Amino acid sequence: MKHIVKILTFHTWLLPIYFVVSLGCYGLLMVGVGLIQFPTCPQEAVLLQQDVVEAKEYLRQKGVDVGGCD
Amino acid sequence: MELADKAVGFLLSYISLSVFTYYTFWVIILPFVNSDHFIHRYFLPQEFAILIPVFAGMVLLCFLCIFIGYVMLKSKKKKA
Repeated sequence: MKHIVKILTFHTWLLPIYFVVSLGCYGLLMVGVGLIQFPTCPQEAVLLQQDVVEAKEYLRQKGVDVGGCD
Repeated sequence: MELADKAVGFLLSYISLSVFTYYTFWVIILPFVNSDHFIHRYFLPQEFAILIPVFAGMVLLCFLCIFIGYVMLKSKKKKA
C-alpha cells in the first residue's frame, strides 16, 4: 500500500510534464500527417511561375527595382 | 519533390509516435511493474523521465533566444 502512495507523490511532479511532452508529440504528429497528405498541383506551379515573370516585367517597366532582396 | 515531403512527414510522425509510446510506457506503466522484471533493463532510471524533457525544453528556449538575438544583431549591423 505504501509503495502505491510513493508512486502517487512521484506522479504529481511527473503528470504535468507528461502532458506537455504528449502535447508536443501530438503537434509533431499533426505536422507529419499534414506533410504526408499535402496535395501538390504541378499545373498551378507552372502558372504561378508565369505570373511571377509577368509581374516582374510589369514592375520593371514602372520603375520598381525587382532585382531581389538582401 | 513531393516524395521528399512525404518522406519527411513520415519520419516526423514516426519519431513523434515512438517518443510518445516510450515516454508513456516509462511514466505510466513501469511503476506498476515488479522491480525484478526484465523490462526495467530497457528503460533509464525514473529520475531521467523528468530531467530529459526539462533539459530539452531549456535547450529549446536558449536556442530561440540566441537565434532572435543573432537576427536582431544582423539587421542592426546592416542598417548602420
